[in-house]
Amino acid sequence: MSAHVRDMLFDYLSGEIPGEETASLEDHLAQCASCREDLRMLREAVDVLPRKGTLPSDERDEQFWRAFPAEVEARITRRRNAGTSLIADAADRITSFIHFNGAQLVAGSGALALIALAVLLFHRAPAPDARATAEKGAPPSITVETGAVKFHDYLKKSRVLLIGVSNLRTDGAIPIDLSVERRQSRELVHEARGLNRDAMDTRSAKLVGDLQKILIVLANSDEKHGAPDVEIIRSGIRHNNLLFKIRMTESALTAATYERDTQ
Amino acid sequence: MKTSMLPLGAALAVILPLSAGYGQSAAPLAEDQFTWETAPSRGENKSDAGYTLYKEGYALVLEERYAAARKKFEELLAKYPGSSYADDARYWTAYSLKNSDREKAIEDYKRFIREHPKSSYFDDAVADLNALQIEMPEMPRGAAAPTPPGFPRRAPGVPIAPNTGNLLRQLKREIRHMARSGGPAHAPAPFAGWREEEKLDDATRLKMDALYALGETKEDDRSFSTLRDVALDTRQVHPLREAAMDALSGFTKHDALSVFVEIAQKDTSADLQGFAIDYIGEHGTDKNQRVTVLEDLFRSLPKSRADQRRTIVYTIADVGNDRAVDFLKRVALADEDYDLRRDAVYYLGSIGGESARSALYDILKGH
Repeated sequence: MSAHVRDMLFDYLSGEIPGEETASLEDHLAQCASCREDLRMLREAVDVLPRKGTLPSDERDEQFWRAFPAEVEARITRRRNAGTSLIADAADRITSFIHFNGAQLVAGSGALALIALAVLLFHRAPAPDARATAEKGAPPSITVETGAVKFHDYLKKSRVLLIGVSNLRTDGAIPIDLSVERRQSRELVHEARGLNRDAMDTRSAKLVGDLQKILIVLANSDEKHGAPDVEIIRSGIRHNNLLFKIRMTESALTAATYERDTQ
Repeated sequence: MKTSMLPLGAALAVILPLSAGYGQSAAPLAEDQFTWETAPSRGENKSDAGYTLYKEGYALVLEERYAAARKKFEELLAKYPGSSYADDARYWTAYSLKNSDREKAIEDYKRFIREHPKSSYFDDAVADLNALQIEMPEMPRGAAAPTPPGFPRRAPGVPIAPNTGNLLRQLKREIRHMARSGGPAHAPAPFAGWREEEKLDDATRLKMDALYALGETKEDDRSFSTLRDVALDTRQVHPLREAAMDALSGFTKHDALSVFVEIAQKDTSADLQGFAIDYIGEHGTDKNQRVTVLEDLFRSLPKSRADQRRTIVYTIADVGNDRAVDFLKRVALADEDYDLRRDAVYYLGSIGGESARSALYDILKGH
């Protein structure tokens, strides 16, 4: 899937691309399962948003409304500074959409929807808990929640990638194809830059930093030097005991989340 | 999952004989209990037709499109059952099931471990199975539900891996340190609340600032002896002793290690002992030295100090080099504490790599 097509999906849903481009995009969608899946997720996310003409919520106090635009702006700025992925970019655009259509949209509902949206986008799955929280009118903690979700998601994706690379066969019997791994590691390198900006505890930050070194090598690996590159990456994974540290941190995040939620 | 197993750890119950219980030694497995894989070796496999399907399936796993990935792997196994990528396909099939059918995933992982003990994914399957099985809500109360040090509350079905408590304690220590020393403001969200747990009076806070300041200045004999004395002084309040240990952890010219060892061996506070073990695991650049010190400490502790022994096993696993793997293998095979043996197997799977895989394979065979 090209980045160009990805960039058009939100506009397509909004009915904001010209007719000839619409036809071309729909042709592509008919052939590309990956883009269709992204479109489906984006549609689900947009469906969570309030429709035009919804009345403002009376459940939020003045302080919330005063803080809300600044929080959204800060979030947009952080994402732009960090470099954006499809998902982050879509989130930004939807956030802006809410923000700049304030007269017609309910910003409060938008904020609540954003919690569900963030979970939808980052988890790629429905998020009943997030919706339930939103419906209960709990205070939005967009940055904190998405920060934790992003970190956990980043670790999970990194683990899958490192397991795959650790088990690649490099005996020369089959030419090594690293295209899938390169693409994924590039996305993770971008995500890691965003995570580092959040300045987490030193142990987690070190883990992200160690992972970053490996992912950058992988993102810049070359089929011609496939086997040596893979050996360097494996050596880095072992030297830093990365799979162990990722697995333990994932467990700790899960356990700490449980502890926090049950207190 | 309905399990007829004795109260054993998840992967240990698969890796070690099912008849072994607490305090028992593991008997070797009979060869016919496992289907030894006979996949073609890599060298013989000049043009494996399964490769393309494997790469397509793996790409789908990376995109988290698990149902589609499983179809690719099923196709691979149906069309090319003799492919050298059969174990890859089976591992990722089990992985892909985790999100939709946990029980089926557990069965697939167990089958993988039985049928592919020589696969390079063997260690990964052990680690995944452990993590999965511990989360099973149907596990009998108290079975396979270890209570990790530092994380006492545990109910059936609560997702938690063995010895997560060690990492939680390390994170708490770091977060407290950051809060005291004015470091980065943010911890991962689930840990954020821990910053608020400590209320210190002004006099103690001032002394702590002084200790941290000593740690920041040029490393000299006087600073070292002051910090050592505070760290070892059992009359001091814990935050001060923790701060002294923290400051000492940056010392390289003086023997801070012996201070940590003394606390780990002799102190009356289990918390401080745990911190000291953490510092030993992180001290210096020589990983072999760290493991050696921790091994000596492990041997010197009586069996009744179960929490400290578990913390040491975790800390050695966190170092993760070949020497650590050897130690874990010995624990898994022969320690009297069955919980420790289970932890060691889990850590070996989580470390991964050839030496850990080889250790697991040896454990499987009982030597």
